[in-house]
Amino acid sequence: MAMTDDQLAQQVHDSYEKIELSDDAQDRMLAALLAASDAKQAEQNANRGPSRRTTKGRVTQMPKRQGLKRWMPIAAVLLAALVVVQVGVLTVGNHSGETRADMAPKSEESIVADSFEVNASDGVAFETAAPQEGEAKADSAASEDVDSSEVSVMVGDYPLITLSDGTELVARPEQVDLVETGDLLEETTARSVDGEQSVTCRVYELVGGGYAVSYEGEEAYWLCD
Amino acid sequence: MPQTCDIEAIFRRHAQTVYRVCYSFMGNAADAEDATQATFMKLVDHPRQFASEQHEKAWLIVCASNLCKDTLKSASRTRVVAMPEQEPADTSASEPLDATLDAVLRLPEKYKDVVYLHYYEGLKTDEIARTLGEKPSTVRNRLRDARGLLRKALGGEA
Repeated sequence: MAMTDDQLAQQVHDSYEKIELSDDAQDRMLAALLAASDAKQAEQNANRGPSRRTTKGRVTQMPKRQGLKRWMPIAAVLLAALVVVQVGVLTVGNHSGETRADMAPKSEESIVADSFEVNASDGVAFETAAPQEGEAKADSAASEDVDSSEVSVMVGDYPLITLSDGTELVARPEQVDLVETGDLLEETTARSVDGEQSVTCRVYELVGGGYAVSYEGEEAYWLCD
Repeated sequence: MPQTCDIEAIFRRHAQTVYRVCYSFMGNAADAEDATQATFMKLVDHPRQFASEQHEKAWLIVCASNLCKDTLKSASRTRVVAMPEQEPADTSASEPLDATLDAVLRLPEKYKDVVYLHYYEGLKTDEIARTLGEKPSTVRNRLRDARGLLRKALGGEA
């Protein structure tokens, strides 16, 4: 009697069910895999030096260097923003005798504009990293007492990160020391305010509270809140 | 999540699946276990993120299948060079099997992944084609041929 398609399908399906990996074999394999995984992490940490360990002694998962070039423009914008903050503060501090309207805003605009031109030509920079016109023109009367929050507004908006629990974080142009970086919280996506640019990133819980973010292909950690 | 937890979770989710694929190619437990471990070891060596558990499973099945094909090809070359007079190994000799499984294991290599994906995972022709990166017509032909071989091997037993 000829076998129907359904009978054949059922018979073949049942035959696969008989192939079963024993618990002992599973345990043996898993032990070998975990040992290999630990050895690989230890090797990576040895190559990168002791600073890659957290204060808790646990190993953080470091981003690969693959695609470094791809994300360099974003890193460059963030670094440029950091430079702007520092230069802005120094300019205000070192030139208090000159006309304030000529000083701080000009240096901020030119530096950010220069860095942004370079990144715009690469086509992958966060557009929002450039200062808004109104934000860049700091009020000369108020520039003598520039505090960090004003500086932050002056350099523009920063990448936004949404965690799986809905927490919204904003990356800041402030680097975090590796020893402060705690457990990897999750891998997610940082995006520009307009949502047009995005980049894979890893969010870490800082040992002392708060968060840090590292972008794919980059080894620096940035404060976010 | 630390990488060690990831590989453990992935292994627990898909060990049986990967082992079934490997066994269907290798035909014995020892080689299937080696191939299974080698498949997961690829993830340890080159960690990667998956969009979903289905994506994870599909990647592992294809990876296991390719790894087994490479292993068999390599073993075949070695056999030809070292022992040219030796007959091909009888995959069913080492372990007792039922007639259907024996017929599945005796299928030519090129049919094994499509047969597994269709009959065990329940994938349709188009889904198998996407998973394996083959044309749907190729998958359809292989399934038809494999079905014919299985019928021939199993005779009128049903």
